[in-house]
Amino acid sequence: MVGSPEFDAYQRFILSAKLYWTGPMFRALRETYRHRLSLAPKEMPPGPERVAALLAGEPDAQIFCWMERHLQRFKYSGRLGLVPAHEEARAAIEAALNAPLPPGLLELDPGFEVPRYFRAVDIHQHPGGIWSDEIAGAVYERGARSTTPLLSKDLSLHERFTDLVLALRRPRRLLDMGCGFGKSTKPFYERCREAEVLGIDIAAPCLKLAAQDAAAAQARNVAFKQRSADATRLPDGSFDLVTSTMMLHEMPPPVVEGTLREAFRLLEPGGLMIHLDFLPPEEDEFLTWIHYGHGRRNNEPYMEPLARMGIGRVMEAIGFREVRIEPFEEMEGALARRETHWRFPWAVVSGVRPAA
Amino acid sequence: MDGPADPRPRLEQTFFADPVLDRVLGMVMALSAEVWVLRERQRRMAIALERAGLASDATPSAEEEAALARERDAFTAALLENLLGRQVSKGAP
Repeated sequence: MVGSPEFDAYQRFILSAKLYWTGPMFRALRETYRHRLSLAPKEMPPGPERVAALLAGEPDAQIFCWMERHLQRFKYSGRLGLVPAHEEARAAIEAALNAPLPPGLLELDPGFEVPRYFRAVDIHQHPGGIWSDEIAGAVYERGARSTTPLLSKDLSLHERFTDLVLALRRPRRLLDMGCGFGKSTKPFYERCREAEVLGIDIAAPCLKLAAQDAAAAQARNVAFKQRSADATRLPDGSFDLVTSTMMLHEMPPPVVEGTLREAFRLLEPGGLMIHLDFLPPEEDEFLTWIHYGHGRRNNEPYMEPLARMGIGRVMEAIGFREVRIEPFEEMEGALARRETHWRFPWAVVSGVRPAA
Repeated sequence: MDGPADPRPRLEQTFFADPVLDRVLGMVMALSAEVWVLRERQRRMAIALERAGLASDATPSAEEEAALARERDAFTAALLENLLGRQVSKGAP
């Protein structure tokens, strides 16, 4: 059962193991890679394919990859994993999710068809994905607390992104695409009381949780709707700020491009689009190899296609200007630790719809 | 585009030359997690008993929680450092 002493002890152990994988195992693998690289023929072209060739059959690589895959599996699916533990509390969770809400706070679409690309794999190794089960949003919320092991004691990620965005733009009407259970939307509606905030997502179980959380916070300036980011059915030019957090890497490139076009259409002239996502540093073939492998091992198959699609060029072709792709520091000192600890290659992707 | 779903269970990804090793390592980690669950439960019960006899709802102090966290990380490290395959004392390769 969620919250039982056994469940808590088990999940703390898994997190502790993830931290060991993040630190000592990552460093051991880096060290092995550097050694192999020093022995490699000079004519081997650089890139993640070279890293794969250098590390093929290396025990450090096999162990690292196994741990990445299976610690996440244990988190969700072991005896005391998130899914079975939440199952025992299903009735209470469903009752909380279906509690009455203020009018207009949540709009679900009973006829909404979740796209095939989102149904084809169980994202994050969450059995059934985050869309198919009534309580999947609650499971995902609990799981997201340890997605980034180094952040488990520092939950400032969303606040830091909000700080960055608000330093660029104080919105009047904000759209948060792929808002999930609302953790990215909340800092905006709490800190921009004068703005109208709309969160959209394709996963109804997550939207229900987002709406209940907003109701509990007595927020009056936010609404949530079940819509696809690439086909929102919202009016042209209806926002001055469009954001997303960890959404783009969950879409195949044609849907990413469709989403960027939709954001362009939805922005008023001069409006800003800004996404927080993952793009590996091109100059570091080792981290790029790790990142591409993470996509496969963690059931997030579009991480590599997103990194390879040249998103900056696509944005410029659509018409965005002031296109920027910059590293993002998810916690104090994170960028300085990338040599010694595994972390996601956080990046901020932004562009402005020209004023005329 | 929406073809019929394949009803067969998908085989788990493998990372070692012998896939049996993938499966056995999974069993070792599952057992390790169970050992830690027991150890933590035992430690918390000991704290409760020390405090007030049979008070099973005694909550450890912040200091005791920190000690438990250190113990957990040490347990994890002692378990997983075996997978690094580095010599602790220098000897023949």
